[in-house]
Amino acid sequence: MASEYWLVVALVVFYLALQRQLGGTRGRELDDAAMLPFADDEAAARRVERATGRSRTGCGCRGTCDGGCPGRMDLPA
Amino acid sequence: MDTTLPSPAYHYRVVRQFALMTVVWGVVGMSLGVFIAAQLVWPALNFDLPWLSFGRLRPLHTNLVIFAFGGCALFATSYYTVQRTCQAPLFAPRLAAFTFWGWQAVVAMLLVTLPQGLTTTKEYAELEFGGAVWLAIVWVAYAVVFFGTVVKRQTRHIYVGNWFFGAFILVTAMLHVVNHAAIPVSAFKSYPVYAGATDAMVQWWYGHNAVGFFLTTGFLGMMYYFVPKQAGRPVYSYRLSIVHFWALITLYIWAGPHHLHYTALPDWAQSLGMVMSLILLAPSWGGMINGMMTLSGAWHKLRTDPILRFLVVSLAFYGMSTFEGPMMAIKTVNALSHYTDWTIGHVHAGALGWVAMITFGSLYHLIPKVFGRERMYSIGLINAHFWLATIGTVLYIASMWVNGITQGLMWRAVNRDGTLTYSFVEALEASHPGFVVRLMGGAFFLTGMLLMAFNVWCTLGQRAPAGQHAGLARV
Repeated sequence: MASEYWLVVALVVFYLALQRQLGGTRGRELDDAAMLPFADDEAAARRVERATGRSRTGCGCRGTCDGGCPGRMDLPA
Repeated sequence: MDTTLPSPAYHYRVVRQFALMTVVWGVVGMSLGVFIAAQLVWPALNFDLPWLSFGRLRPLHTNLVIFAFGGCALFATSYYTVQRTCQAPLFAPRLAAFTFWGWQAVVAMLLVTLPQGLTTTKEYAELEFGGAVWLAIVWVAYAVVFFGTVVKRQTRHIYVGNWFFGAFILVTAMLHVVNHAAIPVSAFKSYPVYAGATDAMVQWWYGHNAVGFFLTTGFLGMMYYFVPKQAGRPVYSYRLSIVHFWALITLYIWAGPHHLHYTALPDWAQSLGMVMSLILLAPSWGGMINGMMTLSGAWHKLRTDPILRFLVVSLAFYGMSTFEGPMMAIKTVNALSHYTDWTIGHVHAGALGWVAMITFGSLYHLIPKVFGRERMYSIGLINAHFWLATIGTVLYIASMWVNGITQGLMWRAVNRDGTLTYSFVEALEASHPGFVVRLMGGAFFLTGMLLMAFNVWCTLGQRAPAGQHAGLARV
């Protein structure tokens, strides 16, 4: 019985943690976060932008950023 | 000398120190591994000297490769990654310098005490009480520097790699303190506060999670930064990386009892350990696939980039050993595999194939950047290192699989009258060819490590590009 009890505890912790972190998160925010390793590296950021079509200005827009989208966030490149 | 960048300013001195000591301790720890492998082929190599005996050098080997080589790699890459993804210099750089010298002191204690037989006898936790207290102090300083840097970050989001590094730091502290709870009776002797099956459970809760959090979670933090960076692609699915993190954290901590199948541990705890280990396959492979798929659209780079090859092959070995681990945790499989060389092979599939290879790839990426060089001295040498490491790992684990299954089958074979078919010595003689192949595999791997040391030495000897000071390298 103790075994089943601990399995349920693990499941509840897993569910709550995921809800807390992903529940209210937009896809664009996750795309921005994925670009963080390149955010302080101008040359690499440009190469990634060209290869993936993602903007290096911080938002997750595809293609060239015109600066007008609400997710715009200038990164100190 | 403080080596900082104008905007944002990074502290690279401590990263450089840890990176270099990773290479140094890699050479020392792996040389020792090859020596004790040779002792198993030619037992006379212990020269009848107690401090050269296998029983004393084996824990020194494991401690050197895990805590000296692996530990320095984790310090170097976590300090590098947390600064760059938080776009902030290290918090309390003097405390960071203390962690470097403090960690080298821990390694020095291991080098002095273990050959003398001064040990707690707890696997991967052999350091006696005084050393363990010192290690805890250094670790707290490490946590302060790392989390302090996260707190003063310039970015809104905490990059997923830092989540993995953070969990590795916190859980390792918890494991270390709980497992080392002991009553010291002299400067070099202490006794654990736990007894019997409880002591065994605490030890293997620690032992398994030393693998789970020190050798897996920390190195996954490394993977989530260096694979995207070297591939020039963002991580395949950031959402999957978060699911990977929480699933791994939730499950790993429960899997320790699979080290104690068929012992005095309560049966429900053994079953819990087995079930959690089986479920653990899902997040492990989720992370492995996420890392592999990061190369989508960039697979062609593998033809020309041996650093990326190191990183990808390390993920392949991670996938392989995280499949093998849950399989070995099944009680009926464990009945055959436990106490045999299969376990040694499994550990080295993870240690050589995953931990060491992801470290090599990360260091080959990191070293030119923190020393302000354009690239490593020789790409050809990196390529040679890659093949030596891969062939060495395959020879090692294949020989141990064959040995392990041979030993397991010979030990359990019984005659009609119930007596054992084979004596232990007969199983040992049957294992000898495997020991020879394992020694060859280790020698291959060590040769690759020596090439890396030479390559790093020559890279540091190169002149930095005009106008670029070694401490001012940025990308």
